[in-house]
Amino acid sequence: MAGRTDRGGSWAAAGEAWAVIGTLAAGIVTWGAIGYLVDRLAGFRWLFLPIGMVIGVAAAIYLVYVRYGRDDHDRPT
Amino acid sequence: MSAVLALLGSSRPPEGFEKPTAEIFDTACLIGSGDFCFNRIALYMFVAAAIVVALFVLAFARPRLVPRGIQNLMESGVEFVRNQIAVEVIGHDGIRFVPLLLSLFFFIFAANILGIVPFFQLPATSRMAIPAFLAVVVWLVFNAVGIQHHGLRYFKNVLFPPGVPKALYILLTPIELVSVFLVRPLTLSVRLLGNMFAGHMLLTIFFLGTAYLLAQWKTVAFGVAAFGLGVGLVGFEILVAVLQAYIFTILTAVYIGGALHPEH
Repeated sequence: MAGRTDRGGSWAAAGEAWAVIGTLAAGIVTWGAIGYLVDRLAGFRWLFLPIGMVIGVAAAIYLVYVRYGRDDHDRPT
Repeated sequence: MSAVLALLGSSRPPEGFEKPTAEIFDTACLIGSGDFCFNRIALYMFVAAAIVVALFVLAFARPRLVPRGIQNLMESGVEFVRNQIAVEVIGHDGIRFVPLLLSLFFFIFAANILGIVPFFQLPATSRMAIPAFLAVVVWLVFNAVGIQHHGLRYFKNVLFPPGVPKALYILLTPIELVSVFLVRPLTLSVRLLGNMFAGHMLLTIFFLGTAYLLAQWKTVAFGVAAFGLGVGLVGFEILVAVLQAYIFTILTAVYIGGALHPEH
C-alpha cells in the first residue's frame, strides 16, 4: 500500500476500501454479464455465468493489486 | 423499489396497526403538478442548502482570530475536510477541490439530518433524485479533471493500467470500463439513498409500532420497549447521517485523486 498510504493515513484507506469493493463488484458483474450473454447465445443454462463470475472476481482481485496494492519500488517504469 | 413495495404489501399486520409503506416517501406537490412538481423533497433540498449557507455566514461573517462558538465548530469542519479528506487522499493539489468537497459534505449532512429534525422528519436524500444528481456531478468532475490533466491519455490510463502483461487487458479493460464509468456513480448514489431510505423506514416502523402497542393495556410494556429502541435508533440515524456524508465526500476525493494521479 506504500504508493497510496505515503500520502494518506487511515482516512484515505477507508475511502480506498470502498473503491476496492466497487472494483470487485464490477469484476463479478462485468464478467458475469458476459458469461450470461454467452449462455444465452450458445444455448447453455447457467454454465458460463458462474464461470464468468469466478473469472471476474479473480481478475478484479488482480486489478485491485495493480491499482492499490503494488509497492512503488517493484513497479516497472 | 418494487421489491420493497412487494415486501411491505405481503406482510399481514395485526388489526388496527397502521403499517408504513413506501407511500411515506411520496410527498404531495407543493407547487405545480405532475412528475416535475415542487414537492416536500425539493423544499427540503433548499432548506438543507439554506442551513449550510446560514451556518457558514454565521460562523465566518465576522471571524475572530481566536475562534469561539459556531466559528470554532465550523472551522473544525473545514479543517477536517481540507486536511483529512482533500490533502490526505488527493495530495497537495487537492486543496483546490476543498470548496467542492466541503459543499458536498455539509449539504449531504444537512439533507440527511432533516430526517430526524422535528417537523421535517424526512431526509431529502431518501429519494433518488438528489443522490443521483450529486453522483452525476461527481462523475462529471472526476472525468473532467482527468481529461484536463492528461487529455485522451486519461482514458488510456483508466482502461489500461500500466505494468500489466498485455494479454491480461482482455480481462481487465472491461472491468475498468464498467467500474469507473458505470459502477462508481451507481454505488455513490445507491449507497446514500439506501441508507437514508432504510433509516427513515426503520424509524417510522418503530414509532408507529410504539403508538399501536401503547394503545392496548396488554402490550404497553412492549410499547415502552419499542419507544426506547426507537429513541436509540434516532441516535443511530445521527451517526448514519454523518457517516454517509463522509463516505460520499471521501469517495469523491478518491475518484478525483485517481483521475489526477493515475500512476497510483
